[in-house]
Amino acid sequence: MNSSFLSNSIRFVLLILLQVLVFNHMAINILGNISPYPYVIFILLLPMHTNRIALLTLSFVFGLLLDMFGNSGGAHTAACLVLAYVRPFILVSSFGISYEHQNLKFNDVDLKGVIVYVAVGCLLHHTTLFWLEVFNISHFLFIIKQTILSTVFTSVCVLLFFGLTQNKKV
Amino acid sequence: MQQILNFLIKSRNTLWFLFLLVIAVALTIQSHTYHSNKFINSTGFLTGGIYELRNNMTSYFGLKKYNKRLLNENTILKEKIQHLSNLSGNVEKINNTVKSDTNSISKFQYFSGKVINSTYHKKKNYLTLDRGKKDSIISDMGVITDLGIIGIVKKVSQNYSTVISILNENSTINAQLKKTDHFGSLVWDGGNPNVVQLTDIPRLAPLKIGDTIITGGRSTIFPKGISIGSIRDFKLNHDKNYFTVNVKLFNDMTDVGFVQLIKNNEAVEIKRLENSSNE
Repeated sequence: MNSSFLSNSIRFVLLILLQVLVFNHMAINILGNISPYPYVIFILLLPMHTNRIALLTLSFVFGLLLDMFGNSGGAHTAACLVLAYVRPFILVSSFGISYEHQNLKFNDVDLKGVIVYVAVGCLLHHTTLFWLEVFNISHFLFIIKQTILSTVFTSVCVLLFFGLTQNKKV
Repeated sequence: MQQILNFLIKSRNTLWFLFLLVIAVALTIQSHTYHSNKFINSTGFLTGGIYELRNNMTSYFGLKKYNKRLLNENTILKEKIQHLSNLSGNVEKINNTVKSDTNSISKFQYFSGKVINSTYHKKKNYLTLDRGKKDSIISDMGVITDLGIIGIVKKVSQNYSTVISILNENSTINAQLKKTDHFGSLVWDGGNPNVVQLTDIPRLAPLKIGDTIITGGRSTIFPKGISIGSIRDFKLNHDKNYFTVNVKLFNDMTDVGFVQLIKNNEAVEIKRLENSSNE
């Protein structure tokens, strides 16, 4: 429990700093400027058996900090909340009921499940984010395009991160 | 009663989620109205401080380029001074009458600043500057570089300020052709970060690709004549009465370092007059 608290705190600070100092300035020009949001790792890796109200509040604060840095009102906050709220359902649908017994170490979980979990999570998060960030229905196509491209980009980043960090013991 | 309590306890997660979501959406809506981004902005002690720290580390990489630009600007300014002193040497009287007549020297005041954070790939882009109230910065000051305009100051805290970039859908700036006085408003369609749109230019205006666009003097924010960009292409609107002009910016908005802020000392007076005549 204690080590989980510590690693989550480290992730909290580190991912905000990385997002704000590196990834927000990294607009890659593929069919328009897109940038990744790998900070979703924090929410994707939150412990599961903790009080859900606490988790939601934590996600709220996490998103609020990102919004402060990005001058984006409450877009990141809402997106983080949605992801934190829907996460249990995505977990069940991508890993089956058995996920309840695991501590989200992806070593022994099948790769397909992880990919689905990350991709669906990112998609939900980015959909909320871009609708609220742009907040203009006449940019419908832009939002869809941005959502899809960023989802792919972020998912790849997140999966790379998992690949690098979660398999230390092997 | 028991049932209501049971329901509340059972669905407390969802209710809490909805409560927080409402706050988040309210903050979002609030941020999309032009003048009121009260709570969530990057002028705070923490956010501004971190951006400044980052900038202190990264700003060294651009110094060579900025030195060169500074040198160019100095050369141009020196030429102008030379020109002016030649003029005043010959006709000193003119100089004196100009000074006492219009007071134009003290109307606009310039401050320098450094961009510590900026974006250009969103639909609503902002910059953060390392200047705030303690440097006598106020909101609605114009922000320019030696090449052209950047945006307008929005929020000011003790040490930092945010700027609405011209690459922001909420920004409208009065602009005109350099050759003639046909004016329109400068907006951004959210596409290419190097191209902005000048709308409502009358059909009679003689447009040519490559012509320079400058700020018009019709707002209290920018003085007249600050360069913006050159005409890339233009087309008539649906109603065939107005042109929409694509303007290629002189500034590279993806790479902004040092800026100047312009304070209009008569802005308050002008605004008060305009408000009182509206009533």
